[in-house]
Amino acid sequence: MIELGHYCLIASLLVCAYGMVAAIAGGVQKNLPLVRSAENSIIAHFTILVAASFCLWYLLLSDNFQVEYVANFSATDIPTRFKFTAFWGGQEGSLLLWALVLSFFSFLVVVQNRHRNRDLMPYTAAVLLGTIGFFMLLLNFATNPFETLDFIPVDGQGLNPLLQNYYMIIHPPILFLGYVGMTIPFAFAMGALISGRLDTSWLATARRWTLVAWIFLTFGFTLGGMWAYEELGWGGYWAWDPVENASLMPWLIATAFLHSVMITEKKGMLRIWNFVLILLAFELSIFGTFITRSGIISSVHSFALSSVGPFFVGFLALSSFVGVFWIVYRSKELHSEQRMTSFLSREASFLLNNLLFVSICFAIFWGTVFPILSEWVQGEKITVSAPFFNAVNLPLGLALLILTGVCPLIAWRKASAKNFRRNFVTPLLAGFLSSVAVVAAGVRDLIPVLFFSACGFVAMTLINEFYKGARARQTIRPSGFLIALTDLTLMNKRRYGGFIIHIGVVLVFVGIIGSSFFQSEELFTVNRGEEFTIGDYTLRFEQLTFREDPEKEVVLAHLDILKGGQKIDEIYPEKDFHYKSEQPMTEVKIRSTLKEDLYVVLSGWDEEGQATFHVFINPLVQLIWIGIGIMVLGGMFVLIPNKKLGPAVALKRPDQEVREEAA
Amino acid sequence: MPHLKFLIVGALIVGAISYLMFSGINDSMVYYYTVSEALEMVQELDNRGIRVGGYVQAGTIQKDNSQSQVEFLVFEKESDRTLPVIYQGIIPDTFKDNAEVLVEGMYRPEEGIFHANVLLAKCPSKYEALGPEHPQDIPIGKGSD
Repeated sequence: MIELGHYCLIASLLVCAYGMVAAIAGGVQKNLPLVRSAENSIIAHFTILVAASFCLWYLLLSDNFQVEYVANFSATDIPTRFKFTAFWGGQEGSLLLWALVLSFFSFLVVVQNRHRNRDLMPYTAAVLLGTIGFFMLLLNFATNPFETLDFIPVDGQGLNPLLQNYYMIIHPPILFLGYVGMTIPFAFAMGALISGRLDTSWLATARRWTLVAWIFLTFGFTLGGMWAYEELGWGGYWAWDPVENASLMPWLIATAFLHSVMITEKKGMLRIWNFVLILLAFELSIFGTFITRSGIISSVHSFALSSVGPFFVGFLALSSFVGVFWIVYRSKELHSEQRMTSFLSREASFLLNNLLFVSICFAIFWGTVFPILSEWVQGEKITVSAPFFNAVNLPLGLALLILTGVCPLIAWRKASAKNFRRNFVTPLLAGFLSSVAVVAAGVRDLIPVLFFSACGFVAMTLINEFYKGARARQTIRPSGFLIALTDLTLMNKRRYGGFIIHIGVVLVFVGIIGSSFFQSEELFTVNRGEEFTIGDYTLRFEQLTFREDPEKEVVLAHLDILKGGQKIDEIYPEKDFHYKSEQPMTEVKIRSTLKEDLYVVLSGWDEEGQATFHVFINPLVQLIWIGIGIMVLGGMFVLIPNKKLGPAVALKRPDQEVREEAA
Repeated sequence: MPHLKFLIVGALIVGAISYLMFSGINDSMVYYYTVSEALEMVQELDNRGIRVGGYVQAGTIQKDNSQSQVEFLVFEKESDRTLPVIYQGIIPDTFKDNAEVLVEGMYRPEEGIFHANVLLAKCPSKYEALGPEHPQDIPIGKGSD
């Protein structure tokens, strides 16, 4: 199996090299059989890489500790599901997973585009194979998962207990699906640039794939946040850690692209800009994989410094150069079809939206790589931490949130006073009322008041959109309100799916502001039977029990939760000590309600039966998870293919009204 | 010139964002020192924290009962010098002997102690621990469990 794995890796590198040459030659000579052959090599590559992956899984499941990777990340006594997921427990396997997923996506692209995008496909295939080829080079020569040891350990090192949970089973592959997904729009963008087919056809394909990647990235970094929140025990979900930032950056650029593409489709503007965004999103995905895997920036996530650094830097430089070259080469053909005329127009608001997304991304990038840059420039390593990211992103985030409400309301070309009266009065009122409500509820800080007010404003614009749309539909085709609402949403999935995503965004903002401005935390050291109070809760420490499991020692605290003198629940925070890794594992326990999470950590105890608890109250955290759930569902809703609609129903949408009005 | 006004406003926005970033960096930047550099400091930096990286010297971890305060020595491999650290807060699970740590806080030269308010820890590198003598440590024949 070890040899087979090696052979598969070598074979798949050769197939990549052949396919890339065939694709470029076929494209240049307009030689269809050669292009088909290149596309078939993608299919062949996928098959071979599946075989290689099965080899690694087989070695993991059969506890073959002669293989260094298996010895490092698995052990005889860990549950089978974790042997299976040890596949992506370390660098070698993660990169194999990257290649496997990219190969799978490329396979899908080939199958979907047998008869579509034919002019682009030779170069798209070449770019895909080039990117996969880079990973195959890494896997063959820098970080081979089938490397063997010169002795056979009796047992492996096992998987870090911090990683033995369900989040870590699905978090890395989901995030990778997102990173890898950004390669496909890049390949189509390059296909369009190289072939010179610069109309909007590439945009349609790129947009859908970007949305797929966006959904996986959203889901992926949220799982990471949930993992941090529930496993690490410091009471938060986001630490502006380089690895976290790495996943946020391509997400921000992808989001910018999903917005700018609308302006291009409707107005023919921002055509070069789209290529720039796609190139950026791709490079940031590779960069993200790089900093997650290379440890170049010290981070709480433990990934060792490795040999892959120079490869990544080389690939980033090469692919950026190729991308920039082709964008510049075609720039004359990519002029805008229309010009902007007014600040008070939807075009301008989308432009501002893009500027904000890119600025946020740039600020995060700057903060993340600052240690490296300062070391190069000044010889001193200087880091910036959470306060920097918060200081920059709070105002930009607020502006972006307000734009979420403004963009869909404001008229194209130039907004009129009538447009303002019609669309903005109720939302502004809602925003004002929300600020009054939160002030009345006792909030005195300016920043949260501003944010909650903006959330109220945006929420009202969204309600308005759905309400007005459904009413308009009812006038065309009389039906119940809910039926009209469903019809409306189904008939324009992109528009209303986008609004569904925005509903999620509002909830996420409420949750983030609530949990970061109103968190309370306290440390309590108590004896058995003693009570302590935090927020509305009183906790009574009942007892501490010790238990020995085969792989760990467990210390379990039992607390009663009282509210208003009544016992409402019990909670059992624990601390485990794993024998093999000689590492304690804090098992946080959380009692969640929509309003707030009661988050209890058992931090220590002594022989006399005294115990110390670290208790947090995190308001509104659940809204973040719910909001992101809605965002992901909204994204999936947009992806549902449009059925052939019956007789074209002239649906009078609010934005059409606005357009007529402006014309 | 209809384009000029867009350029001006665009430049203003970009300027404001840049200002936000650079002032943000100045307010929150933290110098990264090695253990030796920290020990050679004569004077505390004015209200500015520093970050020091190194390894936890085995056997020097002293936790108080509540497990929320810990004292330990950070040593650097290059010079074998050590820096005493006091940290108060949540102790990460990965913090143990020989773990690679990053502490952030103030070094007080007159006490010779580093007061940390941030403690990040990485597991000791996986393979170093597994020398050739390692297999004996692992009980064989646990089929009866």
